[in-house]
Parts: sequence; structure tokens; C-alpha cells
Amino acid sequence: MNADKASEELKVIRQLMERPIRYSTMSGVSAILAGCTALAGLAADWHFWIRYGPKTAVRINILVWAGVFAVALAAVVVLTRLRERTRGMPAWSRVKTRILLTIGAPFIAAVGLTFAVVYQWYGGPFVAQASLVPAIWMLFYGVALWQLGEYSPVEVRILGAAFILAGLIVGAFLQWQPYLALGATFGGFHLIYGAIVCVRYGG
Amino acid sequence: MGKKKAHNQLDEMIHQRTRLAIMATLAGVESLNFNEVKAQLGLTDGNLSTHAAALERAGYVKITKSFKERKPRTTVAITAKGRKALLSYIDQLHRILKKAR
Repeated sequence: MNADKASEELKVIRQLMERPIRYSTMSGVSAILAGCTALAGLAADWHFWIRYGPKTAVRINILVWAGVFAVALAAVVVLTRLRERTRGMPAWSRVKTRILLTIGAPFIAAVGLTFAVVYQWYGGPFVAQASLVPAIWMLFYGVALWQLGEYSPVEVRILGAAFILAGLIVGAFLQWQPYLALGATFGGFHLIYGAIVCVRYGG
Repeated sequence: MGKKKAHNQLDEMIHQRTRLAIMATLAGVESLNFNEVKAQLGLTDGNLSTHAAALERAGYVKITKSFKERKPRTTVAITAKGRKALLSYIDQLHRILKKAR
């Protein structure tokens, strides 16, 4: 084979490997684990709310939900990696870089807006409601999932749409029950998604 | 048992254009169903089946037939052996380019 042909073949291979067809779905089991973690977070929230009252509880509960996010993310990463290893798939790929870039923006926006709202609520110069934070998280998480739907089966997009809708409803009508909203969505939606994926795709 | 391939010989199983395209398409994902591969590469049913079967005989892909809501569903995934063979093929292409410079 000559160098021109080799170069052309490498170009074709790179284009095909980078084309965003479909990445593996978040496994059903990891979604169920994420849902259970969220429900545990809800229980912890409730406890701190009752014990310390709203002003102190908000500070603690933001840390609780950061912990819930970290545990859920770890479960997804570990289970996905275990599954990939059985197929000899590499730990990192261009598709994963693209996925990270896709969800990076809504994630950073959500974190930034959370800090801005909480800062204002604790005595900043403007009026803000900490009870908006769950709706913010739902909306940005929903947007991230919707974007991720580009590379994933349709169930991911549906989950994203559910979170966006829930975020709008919670923001408009249910701010007075922020923790219940978080538990119902991050807990309940993930459990339902996980069960559906397990049944349809075998886990 | 066939002859052992010389270390600098390109893998004829992957070297064929359609099979190379199938392998490269599968390399970045866990698995794809037949219709997805067909749509991505513009292949006919017969063409894809023939080449996928050849790759499966070589141990480079695994074809799984199942039913989803009573409809037959065929998925194809690259195996660890197939991934290794593709990476080795890519290395050989790079070596050809390097030699030419």
C-alpha cells in the first residue's frame, strides 16, 4: 500500500470513529443507584431542615446534594467502566470528550447560578429565593440530558424533557416544597428510567 | 489452519473498504443495531450481512439476534480481538506514512 492510500484510509477511519452515532446509554443499574442516592439525600435534607431550620439547613443541604451528585456520578462512571472493560473499550475516547463538552456548559451554569442565588439569599444586595435552587438544577440537568440525547437512545432525551418540564413546574408552583421536588425528580425519575433501561436493554 | 501473517502485512480481513468502515464505525460505541450501521454507511442488507458475517468468523465482531417488543433485532459489536486488530491496522498505516517521509 502506498503512502497516499494509507493517509486516505486513516482519514476515513478518523471520520467514522469520531462521528457521533450513539454512545452507550447510562446503565439502568447506575440510574437506579443514582435514584436511591437522591432519595437518601432527600431523607438527610428533611432531617437537617427539621433540626436546624431553613436558614442553616440550606447551607448544609447544598453540601448534601453535592455529595449526592458525587456519589451518583461515581456509580455511573464505575459501572460504565466495568462494562466497557469487558468489551476491551479504552477508558477515554473522542466521543467522551465531546460528551463532556456537551454537558460541561449547563453544569457550570447551574453551579454558577446556584452560588449567585444562595449568595443573594444570605444577604446580598438583591432579592433571591434559595427555594429556586432545585428548579435551577432540574432545568440545567434536563438541558444537559437533552443535549446528550444527540449521542444516546431516545430514553435519555425523554428523561431530559421530563426534568425540564419538572423544573418549570417546580419553579412556578412548588418552590415551597424544594426537597420533595428534588426527591421526586432526581430520585423518582432516575428510578423509573433505570427500571425501563434494565427491562429494554438488560441493564 | 492458515499461514501466519507476516508482521508487516496488512490484515486482509480489515483491509477491505466496507469491512474497514464497519470496524471503524463500531470502534467508538458499545454496539449498534444493523439498521444504524446500514444508515451510517449507506449499505444494503445483503452487503452488511455478508461483511459482518465475515468479520464474525474472524472473531472481530459479535452479532447478537434478539427480540424487542416482538420485533427481531440484530446488534453488532466489536470484540476485544477486533479492537486490537483495528488498532494494529491503524499502527501499520502510520508506519507506512512514516516510512514515506
